[in-house]
Amino acid sequence: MMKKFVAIFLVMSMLLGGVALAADEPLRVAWWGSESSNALYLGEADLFTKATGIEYEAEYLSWGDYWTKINTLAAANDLPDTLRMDYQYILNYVDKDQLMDLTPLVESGAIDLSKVPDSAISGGRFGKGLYGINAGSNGLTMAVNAKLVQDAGMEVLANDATWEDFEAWAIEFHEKTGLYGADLFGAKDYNGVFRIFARSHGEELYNEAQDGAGFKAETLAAFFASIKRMQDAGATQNIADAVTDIGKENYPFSKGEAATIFTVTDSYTTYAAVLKDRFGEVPMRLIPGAAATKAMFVKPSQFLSIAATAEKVDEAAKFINYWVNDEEANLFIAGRRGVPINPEIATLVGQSLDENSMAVFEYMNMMAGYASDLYAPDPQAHGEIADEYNRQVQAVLFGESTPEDAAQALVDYINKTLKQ
Amino acid sequence: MTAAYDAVAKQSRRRKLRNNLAGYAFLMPWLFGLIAFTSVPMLYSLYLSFTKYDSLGTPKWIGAANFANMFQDRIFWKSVGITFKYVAILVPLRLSVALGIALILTTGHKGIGVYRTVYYIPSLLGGSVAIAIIWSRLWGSDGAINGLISLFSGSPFTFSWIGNPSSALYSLILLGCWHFGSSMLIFISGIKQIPVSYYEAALLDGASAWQRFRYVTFPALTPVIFFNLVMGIINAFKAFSEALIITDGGPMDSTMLFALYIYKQGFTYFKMGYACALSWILLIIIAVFSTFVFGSSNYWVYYEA
Repeated sequence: MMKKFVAIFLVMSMLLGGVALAADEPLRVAWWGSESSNALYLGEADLFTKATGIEYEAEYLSWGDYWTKINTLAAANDLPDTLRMDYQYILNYVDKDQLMDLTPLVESGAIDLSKVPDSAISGGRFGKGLYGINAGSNGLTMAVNAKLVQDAGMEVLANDATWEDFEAWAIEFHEKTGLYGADLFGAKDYNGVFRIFARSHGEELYNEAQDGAGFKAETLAAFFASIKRMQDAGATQNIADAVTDIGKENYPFSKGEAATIFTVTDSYTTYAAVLKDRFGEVPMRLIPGAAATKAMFVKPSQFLSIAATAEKVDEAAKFINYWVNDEEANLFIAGRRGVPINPEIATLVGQSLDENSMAVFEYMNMMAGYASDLYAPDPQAHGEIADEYNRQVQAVLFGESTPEDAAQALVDYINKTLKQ
Repeated sequence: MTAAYDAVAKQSRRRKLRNNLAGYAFLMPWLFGLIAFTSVPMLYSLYLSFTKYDSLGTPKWIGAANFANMFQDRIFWKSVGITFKYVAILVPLRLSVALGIALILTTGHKGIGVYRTVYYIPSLLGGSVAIAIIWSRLWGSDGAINGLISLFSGSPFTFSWIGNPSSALYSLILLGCWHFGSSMLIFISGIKQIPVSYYEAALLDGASAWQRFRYVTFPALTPVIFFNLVMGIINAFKAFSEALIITDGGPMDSTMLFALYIYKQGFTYFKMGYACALSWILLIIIAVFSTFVFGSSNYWVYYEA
């Protein structure tokens, strides 16, 4: 009997362990992205397999779900071999020793950066090591549905428009057309538009010591008040409708019901692809109010990193190298990830860009002239604070709080949370 | 005498051990699952609830600070209140609907089997993402519900049921209520177990339909009601996916169910220690309510001797 018992136990443990023994696992790759960019990256990864014979296994999710998953995998010491990192989170992963220093791989030439200028690499240096190769940067923009604006007998706002100009413009547009002058950005975006608004007042979201808010309550109150006025005038969607919109395709801007939207340049091509057939041109503008004080910023957003626990380091290095240096791969991506950091590749790709990617290239070049120093990476409690921002902005827009009270509440919350 | 006795005792003990071993061997897969996937994680989460842990670094022991912080956590209290409200409205409502439909479906009309299947379908679809998305479209400002209201009232009606703090929770309660299928099935089998002779006796005594329900069906069903009540309370306290997908806790935290708040703390704010502490509080709340219902059962549940 005992023998049988042992036998059963052995069979069971073999079954469980067998999974781990299976040889020849593929290279694990992970990124976040929209549906269209996922298709693009999968295509590129397929090209990589064709060129090198290395099989891969991809995990790709939307932004929020991606970080939930990556954090969970990190806790289980099971991070994918190579993964996409963002400026907002990379430092935290570096601090917790989750990422591999890529310096030896660069020195050995496994990742060939010999043609890449140092300025394009330095963004990935934290402390002593190089923890990510930034294959592309992004920034914020205001996309405009030009046809709607022309039909209203109005002009697309200039790059040097102030925030007050924008508010008046959006309300005027609504009065003439009955459509929205602006998609309801304010409710959703602490990270983006309000950050620029604060920077245009010479402030940041967090102070230098990162133990408190870096902006005055009055600044936020003015921003809240402006959004509230626009909503009440009908120039933006009502908050009760805005909170139920799931996915970009449901935003009024995508449906041709709003003249403008604030977005990350990565997403611009998605909107342009939807709108161009129906409406024609979708020009990009700076965030209103940012030009005078150079409040814009260029943010590295395509760090490719290798996990400290990676099993397939050589393959992962090849993958990154392919991503950075391969002509075929970069022609396939056609700059939709941002300007390639290898200048030879950039020239090559520049000759064969599609219209929308070209527009983003040109915008990024122009925008760099209105950008000042990038902010320091956000503190770890940023996600929690962004949720509190949503709470306060909703309280204002539902009319349950005043802009002043809500702004003060957020400042207090930030100060309390960061001191913990 | 004693030697012989010992030998017999030894033999029987060995047989007993052998029997037990065989039992444990058969139990192994389940036992393994229980220990590896339930007990160990539970104990670990108890440990984590006394730590500060962001899931990347190493847990840092901070004593009972997580539990102390809850008292000052405004959203925690709000979430507790919302969850109680959700449970208090949903559980009786879902039970009554399930019981009512079960009563209708046991009357023996033609084609009743089809109806039973149809009414069970929502429970099969359950908390699926697709249903949640359909639900949010149904109750949106330009959704089908408002379309119907506009049609009958003759004027356009665009209230966003899910987008307004005052109504969002009720739309989730209705969705929960719609999942009455499994309780309904249990009620149906319970009703079928009631001996027909009781009803015949009641009819002879001239009992009306209401009296037959009140004095025969209901008392005979109390064990089933009790079971459905306990399961309903436990499941309602754990409700999560609807709130995550349809409203993400909003607007203004009006649908921040407790399980969703735990998820947010753990997986969006990466405060694993606090999230573990919260989940132990949820466990305690559920245990208290279950104990209360079990304790009260002596007074209202009738078991046939």
